Amino acid sequence: MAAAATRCLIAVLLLCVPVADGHARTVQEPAESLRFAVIGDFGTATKQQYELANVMAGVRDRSPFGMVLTVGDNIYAAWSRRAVVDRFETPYRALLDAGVTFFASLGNHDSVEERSYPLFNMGGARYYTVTRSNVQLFALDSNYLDPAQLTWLRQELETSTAPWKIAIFHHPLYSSAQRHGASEELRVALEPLFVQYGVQVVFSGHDHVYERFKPQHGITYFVCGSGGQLRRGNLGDALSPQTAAGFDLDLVFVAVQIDGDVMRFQAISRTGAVVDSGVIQRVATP
Amino acid sequence: MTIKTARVVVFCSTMLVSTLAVTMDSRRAMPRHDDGGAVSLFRDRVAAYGELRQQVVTDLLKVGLDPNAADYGQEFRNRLGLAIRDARQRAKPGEIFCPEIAGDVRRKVWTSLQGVDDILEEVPAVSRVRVNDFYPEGEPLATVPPSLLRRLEPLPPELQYRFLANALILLDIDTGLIVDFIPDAFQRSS
Repeated sequence: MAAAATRCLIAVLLLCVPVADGHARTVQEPAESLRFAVIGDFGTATKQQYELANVMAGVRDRSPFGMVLTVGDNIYAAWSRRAVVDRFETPYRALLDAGVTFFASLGNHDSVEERSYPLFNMGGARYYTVTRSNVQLFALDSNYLDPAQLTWLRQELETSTAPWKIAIFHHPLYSSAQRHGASEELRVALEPLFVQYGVQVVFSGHDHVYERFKPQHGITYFVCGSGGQLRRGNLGDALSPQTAAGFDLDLVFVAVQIDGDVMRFQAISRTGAVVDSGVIQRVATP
Repeated sequence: MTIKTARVVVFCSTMLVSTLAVTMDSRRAMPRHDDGGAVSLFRDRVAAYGELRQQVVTDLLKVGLDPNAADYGQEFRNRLGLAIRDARQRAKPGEIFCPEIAGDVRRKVWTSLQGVDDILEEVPAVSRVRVNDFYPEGEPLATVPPSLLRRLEPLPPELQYRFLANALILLDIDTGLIVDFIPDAFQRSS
């Protein structure tokens, strides 16, 4: 396991843009940029979740982001007021008090009530789209990808004029993790649409690790499933050749900044260390 | 009109329009089958469930239950589930999944799930699946493959095909009520 961990870290160091001090840096936000964070599989009410949430708040203090995208498994418990307070409202209190808006997608552990929970901003829907600045976000329900949802997605993508199209949903189309791995069924259904309509970035969770893939058909895929619990060492000894970076030693969230055609990201661990970072250049679709 | 009344009107209108729209879309979109009327029967039974459900919703609204209450509709959904269960207290397995449909669905499930054990690993194991039981609280919902959903009859938004134990269940997603099920719909490899 130690060897795997070392190799994961080496992969990160080799394949990603290193950051000088190994911690999240303060960056001045240009007037028309969009900043957000991404977390997944977080609603555990564990000490680790709270610690990562504190790191998120600290990063936001230095580099204010206005929204957080969640990739599901937001509340690991039957729905109750207590569960929401312990697993969401308390750990992210600093972000909520600062006016940060959460946009949630549903995982296999989530309750139907979450669709109507105002702080998840789902508007009562299983899937929805939101546009902020030059980014259109498509929040999908990968747990039940029925023809009606696929038709909706095609129509929304067809009519989207946003330069950046980003999809969030729970089950990863690519994942090297041993617990679940990639969902090829979903990949067959979704990836052709993403390619056809120019989705550039996809965030998923489900596997409780962090992983980023080299662009697949022009799309960068992230697994951000270690927002509240970790499957340490779950990336195993053999990372996929498609993997650009992986980290399975601690909880992680991803901080993103989009300026024009450039997206910068940092994967930040519970200790505040930047375990992956890089730049994605938007390529205009024909 | 008060805000509460307006909300209720919007809620009812939305539910009615969405149910009608989906039902009409489903009927328009589906090809005709030479199935001896089984598909039509299934659609009619699903539609009948939708009508019963809508009647129960209307009744709950009349007695002042608010689907937009501060508990995010939890109490409304709980009461809705219990009221539907009462209204269908004599419902038996196979009342919606008639035998012809069940056989067809079972074949499609078996075909779709060949070689996808990772999905079955996530299916909650319970000792018994029964009509009018609620989906076990706190248990995850296993993914239903999109390729299977594409091959099954479309359902209105309040109903979903789901897996539980070795059954394919028809789940009222808002209330968690098991409306019907097909036993032995698939087999786990381990």
